[in-house]
Amino acid sequence: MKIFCTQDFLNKINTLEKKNNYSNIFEDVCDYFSDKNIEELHITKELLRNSPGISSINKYRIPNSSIGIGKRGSYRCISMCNVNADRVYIDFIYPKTGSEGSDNITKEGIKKISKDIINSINNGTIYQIDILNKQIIDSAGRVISQ
Amino acid sequence: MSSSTIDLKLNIAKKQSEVLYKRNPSWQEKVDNLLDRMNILNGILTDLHSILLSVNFELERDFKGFRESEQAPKILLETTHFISKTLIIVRKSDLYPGIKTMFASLREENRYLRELLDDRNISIELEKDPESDNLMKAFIKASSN
Repeated sequence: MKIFCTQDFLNKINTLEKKNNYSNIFEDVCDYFSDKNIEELHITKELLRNSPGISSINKYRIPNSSIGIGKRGSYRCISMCNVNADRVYIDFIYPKTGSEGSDNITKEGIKKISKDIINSINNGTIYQIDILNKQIIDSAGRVISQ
Repeated sequence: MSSSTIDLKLNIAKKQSEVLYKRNPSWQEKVDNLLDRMNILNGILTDLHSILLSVNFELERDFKGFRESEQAPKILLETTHFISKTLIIVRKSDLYPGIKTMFASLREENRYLRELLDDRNISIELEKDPESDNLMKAFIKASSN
């Protein structure tokens, strides 16, 4: 399975990493995806949109290791799955609580995220996340972040 | 009945009343009373928390059923609404400092279930939205190359 992310996702990660309460955000994202396959990620309890066996939009709850256990401290991460291509695309991540905490996402917000992902793929501004080595790789194969 | 008899009866009643319902309980009695009330309230919040955990467990077990059910969201909405009201009352009471931990656990579970309910509603709205359909098709096309 391959995990991709958009520039918006990288910007958000860079912003949040500077705050003490979210400093491990990228490691937390990698850890979350490291032991899951596309079937597990395709249909979850927090499924937002679904074409069974083909594609879906999900909200994942990624535990924040900087704060501790519990649902309250989790990041919410909005992603799209393409099951046949074995790919997951992440565009938006936000903490539920704390100084950078956000309210629940709306229907229009989900549609905007979908458009961002589609545009990023079509424009070639999409990055691959190397979950194992915890790196971000650009479309030319260069490591841009560790 | 003479007035002296009435006075005597009133004095006896007053003394009995003071014994039974001490108007000025000692410091220790006040603390004991507060702790008793806190324990009772903590027990109520624990019971409510157990109910929400059970609901959450059932949703985890059959989230497809939850998405398709008409009654489950109504019941969940009413339950979480009731608990929200309870939490507001408890938060304003003098007992709050003593039950903070249980209060936070209950509030967290309650918020989580409210969020699940919101997500379910968004999901249903998206399924009815033609633009969302087109976006899913465009996504498949773009991400399959």
